[in-house]
Amino acid sequence: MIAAALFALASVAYAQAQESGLSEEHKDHIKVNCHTTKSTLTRLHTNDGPTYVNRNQTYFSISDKLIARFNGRLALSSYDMTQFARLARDYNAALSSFRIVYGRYDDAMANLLKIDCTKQPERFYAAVASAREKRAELHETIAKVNDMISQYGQAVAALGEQLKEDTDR
Amino acid sequence: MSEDHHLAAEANTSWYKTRLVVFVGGAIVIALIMVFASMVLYLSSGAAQLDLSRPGYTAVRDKVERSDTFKSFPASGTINTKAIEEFQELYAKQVKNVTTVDVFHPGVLEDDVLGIGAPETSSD
Repeated sequence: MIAAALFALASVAYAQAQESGLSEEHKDHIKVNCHTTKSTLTRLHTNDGPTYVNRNQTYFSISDKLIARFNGRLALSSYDMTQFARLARDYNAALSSFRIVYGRYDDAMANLLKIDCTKQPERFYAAVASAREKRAELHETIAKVNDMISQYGQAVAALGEQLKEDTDR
Repeated sequence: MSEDHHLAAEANTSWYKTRLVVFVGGAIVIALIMVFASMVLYLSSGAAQLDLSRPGYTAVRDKVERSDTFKSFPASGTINTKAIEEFQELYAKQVKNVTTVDVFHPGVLEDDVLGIGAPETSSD
């Protein structure tokens, strides 16, 4: 709760620092579109919830029900599993980052939705920019997790090729 | 003698009342501390983000997929070409779910998409 409160204060401070001199015309434009923008953002934030839960669940299951078990069997079969252990460790680290970054994004969106854009258009505009930045960071983190998944798949394929060659000899 | 009894009984009653207030007050304070600690854990552990029983998520709760449909790779057995093929089949099936759909694209928060971009000024 303390961490969340500190984060909220930091976000407010950041949003205030980001407040730039928007033209009166631009501020009026934000005020006029405020209701529609807020509805879009609320819907987006609500739909992000199950998307995150499903993604997190699938990523965790890939680690727990596939990668960890495959590594376990490699260890039992006395294979050199240095590469596989490193990939599993990197994958889990990327997965932890994904959870942390999503938490930051979720907080940014929650704070954004608390701002009244008819009264504070500049602050609202800056908070949208902050949320967009965090969403971009989240998107990059997902790409990293997917890259780790791809690397592990390639390592398994290479091992399969090696075993095939050994069997053919 | 009876006055002594009366005074002693009064003193006892007063002590019991004080003790009751201390116990009830103590229980409330302990409960508040426990609630505060659990809320700190709930928010800091990331459980809050996974909790779709929060207000506002009722409508989308059904969109959560059941985790028991995920088929596990057997934890025992040797690693041979057949085991690797089995793994690759399971892996490809699960990986497809996360690599084919692009989620959390930042484009949806662009100014123009949200209708909060700077209005075009006429050059006339």
